[in-house]
Amino acid sequence: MLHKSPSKTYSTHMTLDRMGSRYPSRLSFSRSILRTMVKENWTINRVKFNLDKKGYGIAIYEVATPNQVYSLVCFSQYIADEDRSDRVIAEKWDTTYSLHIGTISAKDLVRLKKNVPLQEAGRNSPNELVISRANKSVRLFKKVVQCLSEGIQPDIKDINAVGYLLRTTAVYGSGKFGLSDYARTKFVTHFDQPFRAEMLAVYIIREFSVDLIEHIAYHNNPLKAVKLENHIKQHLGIGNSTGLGMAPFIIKHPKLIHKWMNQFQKTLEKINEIKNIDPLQFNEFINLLHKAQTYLNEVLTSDKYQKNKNYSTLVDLKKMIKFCNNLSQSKNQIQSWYEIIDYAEKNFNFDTQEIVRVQIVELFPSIADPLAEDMSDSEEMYIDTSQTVLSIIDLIRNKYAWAINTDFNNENNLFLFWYISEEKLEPRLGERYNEKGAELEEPLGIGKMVYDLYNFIINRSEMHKFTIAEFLLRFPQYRGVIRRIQTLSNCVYGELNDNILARNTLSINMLRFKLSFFGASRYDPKSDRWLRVSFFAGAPFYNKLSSKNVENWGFATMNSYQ
Amino acid sequence: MSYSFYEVYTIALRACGSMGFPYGADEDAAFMIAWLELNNLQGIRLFARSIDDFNNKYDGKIVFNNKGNDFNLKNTSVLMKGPGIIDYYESLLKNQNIIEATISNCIDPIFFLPLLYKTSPKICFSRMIHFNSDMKMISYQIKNKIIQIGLSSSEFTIEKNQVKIILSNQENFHSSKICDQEISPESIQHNLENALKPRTVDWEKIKILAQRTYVPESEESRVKGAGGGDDND
Repeated sequence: MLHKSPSKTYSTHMTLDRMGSRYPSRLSFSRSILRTMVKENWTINRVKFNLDKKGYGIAIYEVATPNQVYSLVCFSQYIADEDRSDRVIAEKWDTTYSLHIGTISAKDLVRLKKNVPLQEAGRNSPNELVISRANKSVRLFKKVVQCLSEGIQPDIKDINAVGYLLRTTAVYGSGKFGLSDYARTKFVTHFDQPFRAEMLAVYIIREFSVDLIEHIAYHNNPLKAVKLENHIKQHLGIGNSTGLGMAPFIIKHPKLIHKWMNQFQKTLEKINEIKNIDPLQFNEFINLLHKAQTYLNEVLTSDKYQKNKNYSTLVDLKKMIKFCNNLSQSKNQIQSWYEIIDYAEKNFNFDTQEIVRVQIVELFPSIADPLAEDMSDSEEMYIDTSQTVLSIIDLIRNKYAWAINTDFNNENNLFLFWYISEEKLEPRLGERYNEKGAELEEPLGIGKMVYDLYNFIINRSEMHKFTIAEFLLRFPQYRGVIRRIQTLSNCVYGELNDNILARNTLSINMLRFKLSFFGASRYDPKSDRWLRVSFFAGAPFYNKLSSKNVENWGFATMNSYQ
Repeated sequence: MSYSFYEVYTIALRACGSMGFPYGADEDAAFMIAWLELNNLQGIRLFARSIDDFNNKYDGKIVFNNKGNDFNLKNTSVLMKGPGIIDYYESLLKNQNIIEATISNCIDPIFFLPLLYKTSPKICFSRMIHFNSDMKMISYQIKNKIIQIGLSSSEFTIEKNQVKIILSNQENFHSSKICDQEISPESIQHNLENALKPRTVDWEKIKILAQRTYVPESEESRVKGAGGGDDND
């Protein structure tokens, strides 16, 4: 077993501060999609590249998989600097995209051209899996065009400072805006694991970002222009601005969240069963810790909170490496990886603990990779109608102590409310006592709902023997919260064990948690409600992608490509 | 205009929320509406038609009477009372093999169908019979997430606005041979492929209700939200 006291461990894994310390791993979706591409010999061909000299026009990339072709269509257009915005309410973008099932016919292209650049305001068909948009990085795009046009390579430090040429501001899938419902997608495509189609689209957008910039540079100066050298190119990711839209997903998809966490924990549990650590493998682990250390030294953020966090992680990592070096040099063989994880848990901050975990997982593809192929789950929630009210009380006491022990009479614990914005139908946070709209609150305050149910039933002993079916006939207002409690009774990672209505809630911790499973790196918070990250930074581009390098790009640093 | 199942479910969810359906009851109702729409059984149209009957009058409570498993809905929508009733029957099936019940004064019986479909993996067989608007007795048989729909024989006696529901946990429960239409995993995939096409007039009506749940964004939210501050780097 990983821990001597599993129940305590389960709940501590799902607190906001811990969730906000997660890092990508072998199980992340960006990693598993590239692994699948290599394993199944997918090919990507740029079949259309009708861009003018300034880079405006249409490009299409076809992805051939063993049984199906998918096409990413890219629209690039001129927009004025003042129209370029990361805000989700923007209406114009430098580039827009759609991932389509099959090849794109002339008729499809007309339809897509009319709709995809409009994004949320356009309509899509069930033959489209993903839509997205990306803006040019004002800091980097022009600079790189200029360098390449003059026949010189940009400085990798400039690349590192930003991390991307294009930055997506939304990647939509799963039935939104008319796109294919996930129930169909997983049935008729290769994408039977969550967010795989989205990750494929983002990977190809990264290809397009480099094709686009090299194309513009060439037309600026055909005689002198050069292409990006691989060691610089590979350091580029695709940026992503992520706001609160991601946060409710964690509350609304608890079975899926449990599945993701459970697969990760299961990987560690299996690793911990291995007795006697191979010294060579342990040295490899130390190298991976060094790599993470270099990565953290290189990652730039202007956010004070994140800077301090990274700094304290660097201090802890240094100590962790020292501990490992001492172990490595001692004559006593290390008995299990559990010793290493346990030491990190007892001595270092959450970020360091997570880095230790993901770098250990990195060493065991035969354990991690099959589990990474099983990250999907039925999301159906159910009511166990024959359970009694008394057993619900027990469940609440066992699993929701954090909720029933919260003082909801204290305004600070009800300070925030989640709502859907009128402007863009996106989730937002409001302040209950300072802003309008609390009466239209989204049902995301699970702690408060459990607290209310518990206080309703605890003193009504005459109801304790009722079956849940009998109870809900009389009190249907508790259907949602009872269904949730019952469904998640065996999902130890399904519930976020913190009150997200509290004044001090750092919602970016929820974003980071989800983004880590996507495989995002280079966390750069811009407020307590949104941040920028990169996807696929350090990953090989398609023409270099092989079984030899598909797994080497976690915690990529500027010297990873020598 | 065509929509995904997700879009139909989401707009129904918001519309139900705006009409006072509590958390959980709104999800059940949205599922029932979207599932019927997905299977070409006009969920959105039925919902839009009855909005005025239950707007801000959510009443999901069920009053027990002395008639065994029978209930009188008193013309209250199944969207509100149906989930509790089917849950209740399901709980009774833990101790008995067959439930046979008559629901009276039921104005929208078809909304029971998605609920029976949803419970079908847990129940060996279920059947629902009611009169349609042409006063023809329609029967629905559900087994392993496959639904057969057809005209019913006269083996059951029900009145207008009554629904007969039979649930059985017997593997060999006798089912009638009726099948003018079948709903199956394959037909559902086919419908997802072709998208859902509710009538515009109904959709717009529901959209207006859904919009009541949206909140104008505050300045604070704008500044702190994605892209706020140095949004153009």
